[in-house]
Amino acid sequence: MKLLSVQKLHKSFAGKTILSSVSFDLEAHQTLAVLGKSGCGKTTLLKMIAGLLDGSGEIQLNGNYVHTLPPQQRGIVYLYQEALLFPHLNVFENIAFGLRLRKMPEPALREKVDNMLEDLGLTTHARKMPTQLSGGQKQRVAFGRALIIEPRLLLLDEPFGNLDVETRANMQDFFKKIAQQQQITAMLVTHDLKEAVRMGDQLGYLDAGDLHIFDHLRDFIADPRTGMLAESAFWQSIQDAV
Amino acid sequence: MKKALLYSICALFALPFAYLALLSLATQWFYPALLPDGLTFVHWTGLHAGFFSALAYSGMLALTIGILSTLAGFLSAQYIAWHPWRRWALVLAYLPYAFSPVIYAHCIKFFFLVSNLAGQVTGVMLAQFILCYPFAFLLFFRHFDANLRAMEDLSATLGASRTATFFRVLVPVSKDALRLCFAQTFLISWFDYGLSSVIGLGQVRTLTVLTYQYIGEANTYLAAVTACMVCFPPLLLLWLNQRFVFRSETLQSETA
Amino acid sequence: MSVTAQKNTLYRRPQGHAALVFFLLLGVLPLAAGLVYAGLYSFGLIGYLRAGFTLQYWYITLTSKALWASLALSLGLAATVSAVSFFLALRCVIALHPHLKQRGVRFSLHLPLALPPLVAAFVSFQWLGGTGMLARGAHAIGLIQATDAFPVLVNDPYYIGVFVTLLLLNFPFILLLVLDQYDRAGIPEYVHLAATLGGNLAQIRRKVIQAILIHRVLPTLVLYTVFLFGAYEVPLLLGQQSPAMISVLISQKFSKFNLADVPVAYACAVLYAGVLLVLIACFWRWHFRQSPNSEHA
Repeated sequence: MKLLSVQKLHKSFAGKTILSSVSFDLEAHQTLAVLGKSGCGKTTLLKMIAGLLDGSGEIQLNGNYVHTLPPQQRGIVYLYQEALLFPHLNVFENIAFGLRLRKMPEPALREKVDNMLEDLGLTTHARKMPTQLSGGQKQRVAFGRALIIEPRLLLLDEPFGNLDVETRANMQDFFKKIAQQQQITAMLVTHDLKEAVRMGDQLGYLDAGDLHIFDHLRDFIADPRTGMLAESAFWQSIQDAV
Repeated sequence: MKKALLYSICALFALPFAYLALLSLATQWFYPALLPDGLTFVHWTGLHAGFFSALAYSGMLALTIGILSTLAGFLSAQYIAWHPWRRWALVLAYLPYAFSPVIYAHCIKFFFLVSNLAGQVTGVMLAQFILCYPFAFLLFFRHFDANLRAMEDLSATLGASRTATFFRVLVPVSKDALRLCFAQTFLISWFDYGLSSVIGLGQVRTLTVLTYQYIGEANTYLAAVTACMVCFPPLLLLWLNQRFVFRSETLQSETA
Repeated sequence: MSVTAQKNTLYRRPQGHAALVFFLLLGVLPLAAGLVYAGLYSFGLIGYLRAGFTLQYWYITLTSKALWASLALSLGLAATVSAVSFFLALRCVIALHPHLKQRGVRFSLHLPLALPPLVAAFVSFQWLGGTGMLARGAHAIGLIQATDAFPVLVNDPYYIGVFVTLLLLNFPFILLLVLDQYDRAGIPEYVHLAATLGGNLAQIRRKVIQAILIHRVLPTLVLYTVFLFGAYEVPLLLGQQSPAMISVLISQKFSKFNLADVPVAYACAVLYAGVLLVLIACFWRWHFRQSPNSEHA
């Protein structure tokens, strides 16, 4: 079932085209990983889908047009590279933020947040302030804060870019697990080849405002722009040398 | 040696306050005595109504200016920080910010005279506001950075309305900046002498105006009393602020 | 719908314009109106002495030795106080860095921030004057016998009293600024690096610590110089009638009963604004050199 449908999304700024007629579909409960170099328009694409930036084109979510709606009404959460935890709220209250906006009754809110904390493995950290958390823990809280309001679509803008290699791998596993568990539909942009392949059910490549979605992983591998061939050749040459 | 230097600096910085307190309590302190003849509260207990009205004027002006400038600076900088002409606004804000208050007062005095605001408390209040507002604007302009904008965006995608984002995110996140701005603008108004004396035409007697009058009259003991009163609120603010600063520093070092 | 600007949808254009108008009205317009009024007055176009356009008052202003002496004195004193404050602060931070972060010491360092210029000037007067505390100390240890034997340190021709008081007021700000930048810049790491590259202690102080810190605090130092340039209360109490610092000189001209002095005072105010603009332009140049892409730096 198609959840997201983007048609002819276009954006220009100061006479320069940032996105040129981007169109693609995303199935429900799938993760689309978009690979692209810095400045290729990845963030602009996500922000336009989230409703944070103006532009032309059409966006449908579950068959309904949402591109005219403000970001508050789209049901799409956009997550930054930074965890951006609200510094005045503790872990529990950060996660509960969206539920409090929706005025959920206190007992139900507590139960839901407690469950989320358990899923995130953060039960013992519930009362801690953001400054008391590690980078990985902060990113988990950011996920929890987004997931708890059950968004229709999750947009991830290089969400693990600020983490060290080991934490990054752990967070990628964590996201895969929780995405399956909660049947999340997500779109992730990254410049990390390994991360794109690891996280994406579908793969895309964004270059100079043009998005190309690959039908199969083998097409992604075969496309020289993705750098996959060069990467495999490098490791193969190392192996051969040894 | 290092300790001696350190404590000398600390003592030097504390000395003016200790001296003023002692002078305000001195019965007589003539040359060449190194210490007063005796101590008395007579200069404090004998204060006349003019002193209390000056205290009330200064307090009322500083509180009003602190609140109004902070609110105006916060609300306008929030929008102007993302306005296409933001850089121009920033450049323009520096001139009134850096301008000598007394010269500023002389330049705008005519407008206050023709609008019958000169010599009035409201006139001094307006003049102090137009002096403090660019300061508050500059402070908040820097505060509304890309990180805070990203937080506003995130809050919106989590479903918060503009009002909810303002009260649940922007205001709590800006608590320190709001407190700092209030304290600073309160002090600019509280410390002001030049602007108040020119726009107030000597009729709006704030504590600093009264202090200057006592100094001019060579009424040293009363000048010391009013000077102590001028120093008291900033010292209190400093003490409260230090408590806050040290608490957050301790918290950060514990969690690092 | 064609988009020509990278505009955040949450940004509300009408409120943005309204905020800008409010800012221009209350933040910029009063000064602009005051300067336009001052300019018109100085050219004889308005005011009690208006008699049509004249350069007479500007001629008087620009040929006034007192004005140039005042500008030179104000700029020189402001720059000297800033420079001395910076170098003293630098020496203190290098020598006392870990101790300066102790709680009690930090509180003491903040104390002069609670001292208004008027009160600081009063205290200086009480300490540096002929019958002040320093003179009493000198008398007590037998250095002087009479008050006139004590050197003139207030209302003196060398502006010693003004300099000392402005230094007392300015030094703590600069000390706190340098201390803050010392920590933010990660100076100890650079010192270790320079040491491994073979630098001796003097070289490290001059070429690493001092160079890095000057670069980082220069914009703020320029801004403080601008504030000191317009200092009023301290030179009013402790300075001389002539040459007077610029704020005092302009105030004197406004306060005189001679009406012919008023247009000259306005011309001086316009000239002061011009010098201030140049100083602010310097500040901006340094500021943007350090953070060229950000107004928020």
